[in-house]
Order: sequence, then C-alpha cells, then structure tokens
Amino acid sequence: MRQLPAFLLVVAIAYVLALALSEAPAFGRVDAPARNEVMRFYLDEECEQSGIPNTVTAIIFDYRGYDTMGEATVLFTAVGAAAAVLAGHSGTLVARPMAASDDVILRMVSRMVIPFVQIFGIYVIVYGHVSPGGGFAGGTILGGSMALYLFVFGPKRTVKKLPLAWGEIADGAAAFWYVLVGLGGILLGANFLANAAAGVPLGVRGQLFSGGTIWLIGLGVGVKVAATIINLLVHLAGET
Amino acid sequence: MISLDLFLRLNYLAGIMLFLIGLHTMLTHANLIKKVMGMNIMETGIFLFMVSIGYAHGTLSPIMRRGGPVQGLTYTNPLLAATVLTGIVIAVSTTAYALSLIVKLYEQCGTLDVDRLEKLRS
Repeated sequence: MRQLPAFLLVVAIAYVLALALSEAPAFGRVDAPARNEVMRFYLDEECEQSGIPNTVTAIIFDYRGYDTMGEATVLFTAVGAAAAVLAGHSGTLVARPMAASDDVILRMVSRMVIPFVQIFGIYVIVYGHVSPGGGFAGGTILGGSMALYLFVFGPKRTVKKLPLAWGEIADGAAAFWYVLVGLGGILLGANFLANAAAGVPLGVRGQLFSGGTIWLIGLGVGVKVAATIINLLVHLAGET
Repeated sequence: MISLDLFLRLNYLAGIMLFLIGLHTMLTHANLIKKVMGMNIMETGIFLFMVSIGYAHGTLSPIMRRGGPVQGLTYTNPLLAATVLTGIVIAVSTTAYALSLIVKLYEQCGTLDVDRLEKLRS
C-alpha cells in the first residue's frame, strides 16, 4: 500500500527539480556560472603555491586539507562503528557463511591479477600529484585488490595473510600520521597543515618528491583508504 | 510553464532521473538491502550532477604539465572534482554502517522485511 503515496511524492519532487532544471544554465558551456573567479584562482595560482601539476590533488590535500582530514575521520568512524555493531558477530547465524570459492579459473586468474592491481594502486597513490590519481583513488584500487582476495579465498585465509589487528593499526596510524603532518606546520611556525607557507621545500614541479607535505599526506590517505576497505569487508564477512 | 531543452541539459537530467529512481526504490521496497541500494543510486545521481556542473566542452583536464597554465587554454573546474570526493567518502561510510546494522538485524530477527520487522517490535 505504499506504492501510490511514494509515486505521488516522487512526481512532486520531480516537478520541483524540473522547474529548477528549466532555469539551469546549459551543460558544458565555457562561460557557465560555476566557472567563476574561484576556479580561476585555483587554476592560476596553484602551480606557484603548491608546486604540483595536478590541481585536484592540490585542492584536496593542500587548500582543503582540513576538509580531507575530516573525511579521513569519517572513514575511521565508519570502521569503528561497524566494528562496534558487529562485535560478537560470527557469521554462523547467516544462512550461507562466506566461504572460499571452488572455481579453479577464478582462483588462478585472481592469483595472477592481484599483484599487478596492487602495484597499480601503489603507483596511483605515489604519483597522485603529478598525474591523474591521488591517495583516495589509489587507496581504493589497493583496497579493491584485497577485497578480491577476500571474495575469492574467503575471510579465513585473508585474516591469516593480513591479521585484523594489522589492518586496524594501519588505519589508526594513517589517521594519526595526517595529524602529525598537520602539526609539523605549527612546529615550523605557520598554521596547522601549512605547506609552502611554513617553508616546506616544494621541490621541482613534476618530479616524484615535490609539493612539500602533499606527497606525505597522499601516502597516509592511500594507506588509510585501503585499510578502511579491507577492515570493513572483513568485519562484514564475520571474521572478528 | 516548464520548457526543458533536453539536449542542452542532458547530464543534469540524467542525474535527476537517477536521484528519482533511487528515491522511488527507497520508498517502495520493503527489503532493507534494496533500500540501501536505492540510497546508493540517489547518491550516484548527485555525483553525476556535481561533476557535470564542473565540465565544459573543449577544455583540458586540470593537470598542468609544464610551466603552469597555458594562456588561451581552458581547463575543467577542479573544485567540483575535489568536492565530489567528500560525497563519495560519506556515501561509502553510510553504506558500510547501514550494511553492518543490517547484518546484525538479520542475525537477531531473521528477516529484512520492514513490514515484518514492524510487527516483531511489539
């Protein structure tokens, strides 16, 4: 009996959104209102102020470093909340507990693919400031490779390879590392999470070790995201 | 009266459609996992809408190879690509927490149907 009210509500919201859409600027115009002086500031000043080619990474890890620290905390809180809710959950009451796959092709292919996926993830983390990528994208790829291992070989073997305590230590240590890098800015006499303003050498633009604290923060965030993904999945798979 | 020039705002329209599909899924399905799926579809619609605002035809990705921004070339808006990341992180976190609550609920009650769960409560 919830079909009709739901349909009416969706139609009402669709009408309001369509009204707003009819006033919206056309898609993909170079002179769209969103392309204002804020965007121009980032595009013009970023190379001088952060010293890295990738503007998106500079915004995430330098200009909006506080915001990203909040995001890292959100991930940390999600893992903690899931672990607290699932404490004592053994997976035995669920109808079909998660087991290893019997498929030979799946096992062999994933055994061959996982190292390359992990190397690509590490590459995306480490080169996130000179090419497309960054800590979040690379950490997701790295966590995805571990998730593949979990789904193919089962939670028991995953925990044997990567004990849950290690994953949680990596998670917490990466969050703490972010705060430490931020406090380094205060120690150098500038604001929390200050980069070039604190006198951190920016290095040669486009090289691996450049951009000051951005590289360090990206490394920590990559480890953190990968640890978050595998911790959440191991908890959900019932291996506490 | 609404006059939608569809081909000029196709991406925005697709984002809104995904949002509405997800909302309808959340409202009409009784299964909690399908509600979480609907929530994720809604979030996908919003992400599509946000990154579509940042795009402009004939622009480069905001990665400057050498010597800073080139005069006369325009780049896509990096700010939207950076802020949509926040939304993705929140989406992952809420989904993980919701799924862990659902696992616990299924262990305790043996069902994920909202109608049956309401009867169980009393």
